[in-house]
Amino acid sequence: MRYTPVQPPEGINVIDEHPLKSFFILTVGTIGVLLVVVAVLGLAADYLVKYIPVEYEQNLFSKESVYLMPFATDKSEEGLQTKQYLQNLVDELHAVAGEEYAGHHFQVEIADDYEANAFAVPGGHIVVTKGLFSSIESENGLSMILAHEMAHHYERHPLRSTGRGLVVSLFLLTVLGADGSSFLQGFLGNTASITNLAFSRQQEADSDVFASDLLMKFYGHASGAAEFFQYVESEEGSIGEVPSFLSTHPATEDRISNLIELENQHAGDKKPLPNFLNNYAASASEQEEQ
Amino acid sequence: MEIIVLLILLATGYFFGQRAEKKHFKSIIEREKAHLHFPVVTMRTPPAIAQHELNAELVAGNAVISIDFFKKFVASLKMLFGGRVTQYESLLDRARREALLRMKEQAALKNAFVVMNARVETASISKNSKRRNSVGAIEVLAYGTAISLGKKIQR
Amino acid sequence: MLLTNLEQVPGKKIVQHFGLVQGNTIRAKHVGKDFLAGLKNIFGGELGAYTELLAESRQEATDRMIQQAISMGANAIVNVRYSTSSVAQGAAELYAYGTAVKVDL
Repeated sequence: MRYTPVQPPEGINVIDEHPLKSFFILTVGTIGVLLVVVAVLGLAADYLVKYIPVEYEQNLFSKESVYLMPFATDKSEEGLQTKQYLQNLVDELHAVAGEEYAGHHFQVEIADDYEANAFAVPGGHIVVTKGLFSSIESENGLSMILAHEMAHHYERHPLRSTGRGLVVSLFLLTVLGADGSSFLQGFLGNTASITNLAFSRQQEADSDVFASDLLMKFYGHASGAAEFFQYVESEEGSIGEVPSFLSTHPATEDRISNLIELENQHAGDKKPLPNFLNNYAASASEQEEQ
Repeated sequence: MEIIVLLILLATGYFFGQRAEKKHFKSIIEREKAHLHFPVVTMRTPPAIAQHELNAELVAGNAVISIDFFKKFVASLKMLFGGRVTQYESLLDRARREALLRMKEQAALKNAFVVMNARVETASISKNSKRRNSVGAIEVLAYGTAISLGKKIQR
Repeated sequence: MLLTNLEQVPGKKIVQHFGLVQGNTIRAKHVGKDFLAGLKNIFGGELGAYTELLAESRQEATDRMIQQAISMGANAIVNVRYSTSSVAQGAAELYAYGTAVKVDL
């Protein structure tokens, strides 16, 4: 038995292909598949939320559950007075909203925070920060913000976002297992959340439209609708902007231009804020400076 | 922020991983050519050589090779879709050929003329090999019996 | 191409040998099948998807080994061995190796 030395050719056990090629195909493919799956699952979650009665949501996220949120409520005398005033305003707005929303009840809370913000918490809660009051000039402006948060509730946005988040994390858990590589998890998670951001921006835009309609119904004109966003825009300049597709909210400029156009079409006299609220806003901004 | 870290790791992994792999394959091919005259076989029966006694000695060679971040990332995506995971194939091929070469080199030092009954074992080494997509590094052990010529048989 | 895990090819004479030939591959199934296999783990029974995966991989490793042998001018591989290693969960790593030889036909 003779030995014949032969070197086998390369490329049998290792296929010679450019590594970047498969990288691009796989990255684009994964992102594409993920976006579609997340969008479909999200729509399914959205659809199911319609079948959860408002009463059930309000029982589930009872009055107490809002205290579990990561902020303190303002319990000072001025705070309670303001809260009562906001509650009345919300109830009056709710009264003109229409028959189909009769099942909703709202609960206003004031958060002890100086950054101007307002948000809807599942269970009909509307949380307004102390800092918000220095960003608006009239009751109309304030009503616009409250109506915007009410619109989120009417359209069940807080619950839909929660359901969507839940469905997407369940999906990722199924695909990756409980202990996938952390970078892959990060990559897929980020891709999925970009899809959800698109939904979130749509919700904001829808709520803006709903809120300005409600404002028109309530006051008979749209003055003050853009007040808060004009304030946000004047503040934003100092922070620098996030690209629109990475943001939960539509670009402020886009929101303002629509609202200002509406204000101009349906102009009217704004109602001033009550005196105690102006004082409350002033004391809040004083506290912030300290 | 996370995206930036990911991109930096991918770029670093790609650049250094590709460079290391090219260099390693070049060296493997060169050394394989240099040792081409030296056969490694899986047979167990040594050749009968009339004039000499034969010496047998165990020889082994091992290599632990790690994958780079870029390939690992692409492989973990590939494993979501299924199919051939070419990213790991080059890693395994490098490790096996390196281990076999080291075994050959050791056998050559012992003046052997053949390695018989060669076997190759593969083990994966990583923090937690039970975890999905957790290939960090693999170890390949090649071993066999080096046969060399002993004393001349007196008749 | 004759494949055997004997040392000889019965009835034939090995006239020439070429040393070690090897073939390897690593393959995975898509996550859907992994997930179903995970469920199957609860009930027990054969994991069809993985049986198929390993069979495919083994065939591919063998084919690659044969390709190497053909390129060297061999017509048989003797003393063939297979080894399976789990490099990553859900992926099958198959390795086939043997000695390429030429037999008198």
